[in-house]
Amino acid sequence: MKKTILEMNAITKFIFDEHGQPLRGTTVKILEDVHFDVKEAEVHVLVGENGAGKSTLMKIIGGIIPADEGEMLLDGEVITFAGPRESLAHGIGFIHQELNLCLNLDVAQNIFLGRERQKKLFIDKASMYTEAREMLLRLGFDIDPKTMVRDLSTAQQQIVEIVKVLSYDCRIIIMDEPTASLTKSEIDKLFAIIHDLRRNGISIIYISHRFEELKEIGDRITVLRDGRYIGTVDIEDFDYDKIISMMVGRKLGAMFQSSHQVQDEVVLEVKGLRISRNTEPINLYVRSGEVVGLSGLVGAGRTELGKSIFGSRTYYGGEILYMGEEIGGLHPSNLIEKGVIYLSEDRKLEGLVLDMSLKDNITMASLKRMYPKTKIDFKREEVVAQESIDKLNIVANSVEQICNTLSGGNQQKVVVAKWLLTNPKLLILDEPTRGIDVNAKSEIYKIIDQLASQGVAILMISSELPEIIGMSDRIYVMKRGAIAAELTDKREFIQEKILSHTL
Amino acid sequence: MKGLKISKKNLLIIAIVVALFIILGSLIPGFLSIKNLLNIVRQSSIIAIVACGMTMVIIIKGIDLSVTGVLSFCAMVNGLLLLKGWPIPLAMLAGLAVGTLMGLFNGLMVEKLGIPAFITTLVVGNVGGGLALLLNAGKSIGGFPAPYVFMGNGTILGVPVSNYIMILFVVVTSILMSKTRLGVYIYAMGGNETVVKQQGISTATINFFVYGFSGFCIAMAGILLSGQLDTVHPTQGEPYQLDAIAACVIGGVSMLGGEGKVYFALIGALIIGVQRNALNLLGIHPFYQNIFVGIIIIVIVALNIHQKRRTIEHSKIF
Ligand SMILES: Nc1ncnc2c1ncn2[C@@H]1O[C@H](COP(=O)(O)OP(=O)(O)OP(=O)(O)O)[C@@H](O)[C@H]1O
Ligand SMILES: [Mg+2]
Repeated sequence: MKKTILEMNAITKFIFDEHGQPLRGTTVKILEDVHFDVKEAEVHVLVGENGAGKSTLMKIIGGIIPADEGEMLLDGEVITFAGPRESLAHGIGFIHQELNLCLNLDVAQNIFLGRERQKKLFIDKASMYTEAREMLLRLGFDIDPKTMVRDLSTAQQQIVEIVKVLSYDCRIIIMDEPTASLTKSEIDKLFAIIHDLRRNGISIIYISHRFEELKEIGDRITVLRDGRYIGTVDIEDFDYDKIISMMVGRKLGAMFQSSHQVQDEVVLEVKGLRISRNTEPINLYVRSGEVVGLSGLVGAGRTELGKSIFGSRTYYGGEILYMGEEIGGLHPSNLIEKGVIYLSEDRKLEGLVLDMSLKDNITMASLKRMYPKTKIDFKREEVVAQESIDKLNIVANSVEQICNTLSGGNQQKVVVAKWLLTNPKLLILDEPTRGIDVNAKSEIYKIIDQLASQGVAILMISSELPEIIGMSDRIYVMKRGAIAAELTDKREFIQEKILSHTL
Repeated sequence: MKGLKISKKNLLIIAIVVALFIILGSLIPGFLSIKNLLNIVRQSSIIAIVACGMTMVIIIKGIDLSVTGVLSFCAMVNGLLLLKGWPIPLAMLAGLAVGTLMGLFNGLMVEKLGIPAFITTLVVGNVGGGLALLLNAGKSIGGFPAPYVFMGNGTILGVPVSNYIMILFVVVTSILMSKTRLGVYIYAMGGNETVVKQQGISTATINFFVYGFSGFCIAMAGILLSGQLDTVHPTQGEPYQLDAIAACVIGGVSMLGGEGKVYFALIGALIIGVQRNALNLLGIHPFYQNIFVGIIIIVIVALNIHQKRRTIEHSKIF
C-alpha cells in the first residue's frame, strides 16, 4: 500500500473574484464537497467534462485560490497556501492549462524566473544558460535556452513550461492538459519523463481529455462531474464506457456519424497558392456538403493556409475561388458577409474577447445579419445566445458570465457557437475540438455533420487523427507548407498511412 | 537580455542619425560647428535622463505623463531652496526627494488601486504643475550659485557636465535592466504579469521602483535644466514629456510593453535634440516643433505595431 501524501476533504468553492474570494452573496458553487487524494509515486488522472471543476481544484492545490470550505492535508497535516509560491515551497509544481510564460524573455530567463542565479549583485547568465541547456537535454529536448520564447512554436513553449516546473524539486506535479498542443513524438517523450518521475517517487496529477493516453500512464482515475466527486477507480478496472458514464451521467452514442451527402458544386478552390516564398504551390478544393480533413504535423502550414484563404494573412501568389469568384485579397469582414468562416486554433488571441460576456461573444459576428438596422434587440440577443449555450452544452452560470472565467473547453465552445451563428457556407475549422471533452466533441461532430447535410463546405484542420479519419470525406495531408498527399478512398483512411505522408 | 547586438532595426536607427547629420549639416550653416554640436548634446541630456525612467515605465506597459508638472515643480523647490541659501547638495536632495515621492505615489496608485498609469501620472503631473506655479506666484526665479550653473552649463575636458551625468544615468539604468534580477522582473512584468505574480515576485516592488525611479530621473532633469538656463520658470518642463516619450519610441521601446533598451532611447533623445536644434536654427517656432515631434511619434508607433503584426504572422512559418 502506497502512502497517501496529499488529501482533500469536502472541498467547496464558490464562484470567485480575481483575488480568489467568493463573490459577495453568491450561492453558485464550482466545487461541492469534493474529495481527492494523491499517493506517493503515482500518476493520478483527473477527468471530467469541460467545466467540471478540474482546473479549479488544481488551483486550490497550487495555492492560486483558497478553498471556501473543507480541508487539505499534506503528509497528514492540515495546510493552507497563501499563494502559489508557498505551494511550490511545499513541493507542489503546477503546469497550467493555459501557457504561462513571458514571451519577451528567453527560455533560460523563463525557467529561472524568480530564482535567478546570482553572482554578487548581478545575475549569472552564463551559468543559467548552461544549466537550462543541461536540463533541456537531459529531458531530451533540443531547444536553445537563448531563444526568445516568442520565437518558439506552441509545442516548444509547452515544453519550456514543463521543463520549468520540473526544474523545481517537486514531490507532486500537476499537469493540466499538458499534451493539448504537443505532437506525437513530444508526447512520447513527456510520457517517458512521467514514468521516470514516478520511478523516483514523484506523484503526478494528470488532467487530459485524451482517453487513449490514460491507460498508458495512469495509476488511478478520479472523475468529477458538475463540481462533484463521482469516484475513483484503479487503472486495472479502466473501462471506457464506465468512465464515460461516470463523467457524463449517461451512455454516449456513436462518436462519429455521417448523414451528409457530398454534392457536385465546388465551393472553394485553391489554385497554386504559396503560403511562403519558398514553399510549393497548393491546389485543393472543397465541395458543397463535403467535409475535407487537413492533416499534418504542427508547423506544416495548415493554419497558415486557413488564414490565407480567410484573408487574414498575406500569401505569395495563387488564386482562391469561392463559388467561382476570386476572393483573394478580400478582408475577413467581407468574407464573413459572404459566408466564409475561419475558426481559429488560438481562442485566447483570436477567437474571443475575454473581458466580454458569453452573450456578447456569441452574437458578436452576427450582429450585422441579425439587426440590419443599427438598433440591437437585447432581449432577442439573450434568447439567441441561450439557444447556442443549450445546443453546445456550454457550462456557464448565465449568458452574462465573462468569458475569462469560463473553463478552457467552454471557451472553445463559445468560439464555435459564435461562428455557427453566422450561417456559414464555407467553414474552415482549425483544431475545433482542442481541449474539449468527449461529450462536447461528439456534439461538435454532430453539428459538423448537420452543417454538411445542409450543404456547407467544411475544411477541417486537425491534429487528432481519429477525428480526421472519422469525419472526413476526403483528406489532404500537408508537409512543409505544401500538400503532400490527397486521400480520396475511405479504405486508405488509416492512421499509419496518413502519418507516413506527414513525415 | 541580449547585449547590444545590432539588429536590422537598430541599424536603421543609426543610419537615420547619420543621414540626419549629413543632410542637416549641409543644409544649415553652423549646424556642424563644435559649439552647436555641444549645444545639441547638452540639450539632449535632459531628454535622455527623463527617457531613462520613461523606458522602464513603458516596458511595464505604463506611461509617465507627470513629466511636465513634476519637472517644473522639483526645479522650483530646488531653486527656491538655493536662493534661500541652502547648500547645493541639500537643495538638490530635496528636489530629488520630491520627484521620487511623486513617482512613488504614482506607483502606489497603480499597484494598490489599479488606476491606469496614464490617469494617475496625468493627475500627479497637473498637481505638480499647479504647485510649481503656486510656490512662487507664477513668477520665474534665477541667479543661482556659480557651481550650480556650472553643473548645467560648464564643460570638463570639453564635454558638458550634463552629459557626464546623463551617461551615468544611462549606464546605471542599462546595467540595472540587463544585469540584475529587478531588470528581468521589469521585462517579465511587461511580458506577462500573471506569470510574475505566480512566481511570487512582488509587483508592488516593481511598480514602486519603476515609477519612483522615473520621478527621480524627472527631478534630476529638472535640476540640470535649471542649471543650464540659470532660471526656473514654472512651466519649464513642458516640452520634455513628449520629447522623452518620442525618444523612447524612436529608440524602439515598444508601446505594447516588454521591450526596449535604454541605449537606444539615448539615441532617440539625440535625434529629438538634433531635430529641435535644427528647427531652431532654421527659425521655426517651437510651437511647430511640437507638431513635428507628435507626428514622428505617431508614425513610428504605427510602423512598430505594423511590423509586430507582420512578424507574429510570419513567425510560425518554418
Ligand atoms: N471566477 C469564476 N467566476 C465564475 N465562474 C467560474 C469562475 N472560475 C471558474 N468558473 C466556472 O467553474 C467551472 C469549472 O471551471 P474549471 O476551469 O475548473 O473547469 P475544467 O474542469 O478545468 O474544464 P476544462 O476541461 O474545460 O478545462 C466552469 O463552469 C467555469 O465557468
Ligand atoms: Mg481546465
